[in-house]
Amino acid sequence: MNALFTTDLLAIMLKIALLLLLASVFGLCAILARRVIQRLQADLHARHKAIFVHWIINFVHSDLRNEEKSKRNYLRKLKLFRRGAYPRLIILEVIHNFYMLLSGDSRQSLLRLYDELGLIRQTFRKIHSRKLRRVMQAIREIRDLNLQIDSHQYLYLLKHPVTEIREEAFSLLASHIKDPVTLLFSATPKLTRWQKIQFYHKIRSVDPSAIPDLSYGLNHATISDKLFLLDIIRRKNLQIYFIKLLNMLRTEPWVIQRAIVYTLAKFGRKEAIPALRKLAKGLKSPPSAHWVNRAIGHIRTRQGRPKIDKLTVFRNAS
Amino acid sequence: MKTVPCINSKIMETIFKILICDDNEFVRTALEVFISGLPEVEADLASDGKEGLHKLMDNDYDLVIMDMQMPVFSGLELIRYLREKRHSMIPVIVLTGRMNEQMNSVLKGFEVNHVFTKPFAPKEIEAAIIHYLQSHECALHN
Repeated sequence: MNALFTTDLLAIMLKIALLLLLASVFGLCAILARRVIQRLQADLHARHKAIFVHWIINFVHSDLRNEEKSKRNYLRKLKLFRRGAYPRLIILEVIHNFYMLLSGDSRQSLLRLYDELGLIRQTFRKIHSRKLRRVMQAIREIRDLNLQIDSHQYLYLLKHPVTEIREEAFSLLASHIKDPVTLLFSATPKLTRWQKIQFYHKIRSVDPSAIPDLSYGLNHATISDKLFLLDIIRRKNLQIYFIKLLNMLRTEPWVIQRAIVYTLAKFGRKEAIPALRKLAKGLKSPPSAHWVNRAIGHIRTRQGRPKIDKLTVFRNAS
Repeated sequence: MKTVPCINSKIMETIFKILICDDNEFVRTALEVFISGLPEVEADLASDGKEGLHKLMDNDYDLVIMDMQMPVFSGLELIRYLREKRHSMIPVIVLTGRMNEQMNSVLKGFEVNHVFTKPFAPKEIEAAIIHYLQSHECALHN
């Protein structure tokens, strides 16, 4: 009986061992097959990429040389292959890489291709996607390819519930929005205070030539917003607003007037002195008038400086 | 870029060989396609410094376009090989992602003909290629 039990047990154990061996062999085969498939996919990806790289650069080349026939030919080929999701990603990757590498007319040509393939439309559609990854991708594409975004869509991004997306959207300010200040003050629903502050900091950090038109904000914003805008004008020495500021000096409340006076003093232009004198006379509070007079004195000193410099140069030369 | 006045029909008959040495496949392809538009110009491609060095050893090129940062051998090592070991004065155009004062003075010391920073305009590169091929050919004939 015991011997019979032992042989049965042995038989069962042998079967289990055989099953385990079979399972491991299958497992190994599956891993191997997976690796082969991955390798084939990578090869296909590389081959597709090489083809697209050639087609895209050939399209740009024929576009720059106005060779319409050849251009149409490459566009047709790309349109045919663009339909699948997989080639579309490679095309995007290739266009993006070329866009970062080439400058001048070739960039415009790449953008034309991007538009012809319907990818711009798709990028803007992605903004409203539920998947955060796609929204982020859209923002990056807009930034990298320097696309102009519609104000309504931009506002949607600024009001997005996810912080990362809102922060990423701020990176598009000042360069990708046609008229950001108008957007900021005419936008409904309005932005939060925090978003506005972030906006001002962004504007303050860009090159003076890239600062958008602030006129709409100076006319329509609230007192605190106007103070922010005046701060930008003062820091960046935006003299184009000189006349505008002189006009504002007559109508605005004292808080704004004081910021304008300070800005005019920073500009140091003599033409501002009559308007400032008039303001000083009209002010009932002596400390305020004293403040305006100090600004006038500052402008006079700045005006007088070149003459003194000239005298010193003349004295050194003699 | 001004063209050199020394252009004759003989130059047009010659096949110029250009070596493009860059590890970025986009740069290589872009330059290859844009150079293919030039008449009588043939481009040879190298994907790293080592391959570029081998090609420079085995062939005579009329112009070399190279990147500065490359695997195995850098662009600077290739220029040093050309100028110091082979005593060759073939025109060299350098493509670089970033340029600083130190690098500029080093490249000037090696008599690099032109430096383009990325992103570059293909038209400018085309003009530079034509200019240096013509001037190199004139220098060989005179």
